[in-house]
Amino acid sequence: MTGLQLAVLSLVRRKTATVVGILCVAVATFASGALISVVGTTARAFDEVDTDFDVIVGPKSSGLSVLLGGLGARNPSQDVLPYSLVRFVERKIEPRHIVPLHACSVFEGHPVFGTDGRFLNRPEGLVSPSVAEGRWFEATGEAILGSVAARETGLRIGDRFVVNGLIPSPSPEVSDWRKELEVVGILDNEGLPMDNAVLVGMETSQAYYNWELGLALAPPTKKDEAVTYFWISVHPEQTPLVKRWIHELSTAQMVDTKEEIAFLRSLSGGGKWTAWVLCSCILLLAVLGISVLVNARFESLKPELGLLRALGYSKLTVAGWILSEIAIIVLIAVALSILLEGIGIGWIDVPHLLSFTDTPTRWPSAWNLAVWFGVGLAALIVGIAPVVRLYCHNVQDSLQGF
Amino acid sequence: MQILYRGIEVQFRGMKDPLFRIGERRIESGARLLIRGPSGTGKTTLLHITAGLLDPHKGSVAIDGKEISSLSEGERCRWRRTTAGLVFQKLNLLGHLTALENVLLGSPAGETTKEKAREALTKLGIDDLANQLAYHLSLGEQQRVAVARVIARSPRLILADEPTSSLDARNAELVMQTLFQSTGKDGTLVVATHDERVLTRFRDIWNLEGGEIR
Repeated sequence: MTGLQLAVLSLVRRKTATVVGILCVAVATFASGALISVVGTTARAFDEVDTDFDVIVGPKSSGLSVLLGGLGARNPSQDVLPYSLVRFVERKIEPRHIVPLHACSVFEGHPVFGTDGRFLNRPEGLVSPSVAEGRWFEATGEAILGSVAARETGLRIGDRFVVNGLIPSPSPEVSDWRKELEVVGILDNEGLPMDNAVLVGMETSQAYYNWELGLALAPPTKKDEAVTYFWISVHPEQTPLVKRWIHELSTAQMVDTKEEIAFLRSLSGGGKWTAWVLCSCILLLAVLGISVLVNARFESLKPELGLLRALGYSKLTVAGWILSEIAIIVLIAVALSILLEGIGIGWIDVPHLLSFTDTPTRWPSAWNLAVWFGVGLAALIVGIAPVVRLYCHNVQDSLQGF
Repeated sequence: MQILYRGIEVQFRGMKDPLFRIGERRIESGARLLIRGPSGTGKTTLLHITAGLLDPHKGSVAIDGKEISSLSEGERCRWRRTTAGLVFQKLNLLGHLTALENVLLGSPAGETTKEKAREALTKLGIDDLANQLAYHLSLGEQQRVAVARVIARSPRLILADEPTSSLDARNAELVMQTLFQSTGKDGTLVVATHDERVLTRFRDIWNLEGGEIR
């Protein structure tokens, strides 16, 4: 009999131990792989968040929420600000540029923002998005799509689609809000979260706000128009002034985008390290578990090893048996974990889980491959221990009482 | 296959006197030898020394002129694989393998085919147990599987330690008859036992008693 035959027979006949071993390794590998994928996706999403605007103003919330919501990297806030605040900042501070954004509705997972021509036409020094196909919207009922939104919805110039305002508790008295829109343009890909958005005119978004207001779904803004966020590009030294006016005269929240993005990146780096430490701990525990099992098994196998040696089996064959057992367990476990990851990671749906990003989960990534390779390597190390013990072991000790 | 013992002395730790001494003794090629003696006199130890599983504290064992005690562990292993077959006193079957697989296990070089293994089991009257796990076999059945493991590959030297201890008279006779038939003309059979039922089969008998062979 060969070492491989002995290993297969041993694994098949000791089903419980085999299944437990495979499940331990598979679950640890899956957990590590899932963690790496989630953290990797989040980190990539963080890296994509960028803007050359200096300040973002939004409803009272954490700085990170305002930054991510304001740039379209996560679901926008449900709260609104009065549009008069935009006018106030324009009048009092006279910044270089302001872009208002009003979040209204969602179309097939893509946020619909109301804005105006200032989104497209920015002063020198600020990167202006360009229209790849078609034109900018000019009338109510027209929409322009970010490149990702266009790709994922499959909409083309001239296509019509309907955005809905769905009331939480439908009743016969109140109907849903429906607005049919025509695609008139598609923006160039900028590699920013806004690529995921659908942009409509402020009139359209205000109509949605008024519908919400009528149902008491939205907070009132003293009969004013509403805005969710606005981006400000300031002249040098204006940032403290904006901060003072916003924080002293309104309930809005202002974030300095450069500071907040730097903080975001530091979180991303820390998250990666934490994930790797956690992964290492999970894998270490799995490896330690297997190591304990293998070494305990080696003790119980001593008479069997003695018998094999007495029958004339070489140490190489016996070592092949031990290593084959471990290799088979690890191969099946990694294959199982790949299957679980393939199903599970898609199911976990990182963007919605974190409510944070629309960046798709990339699987398998180089990090997943590293985890699988790491498990194999760890198993090899675990397998070497009993093999070394076998080579150091005096066969006559195992033969006492034969 | 000729075996030559020269100046063998075996003494285990804590023993005042050696377990046994063998001045110079020879087992000729083609011999059928019975080693008998009370329990604890060293029959198993002598078989293990002959198989290269144990080293004597003094002296040497030469088989066909080659000193076993001078071989490395790997060389002894190779020698057992190619030349010797052992029936252990404690049987030592792997419980998670079937009777047939245990017979195949006795052939590290792979010379025992499934057909030969089945044939060996048939000779010992246990072919119907071929697919039974060793765990589930009775002691007597296990003993016959252990014998089948050796005879399936027809080694030139068979060392059998108490091969009939758990068998009834009919099966003890069957096992001895099979062992004799399976040892070729030039092959050597050494049986260690205190089973009086098998005495009559042997012309060469060593009595290991009082630390000496008589």
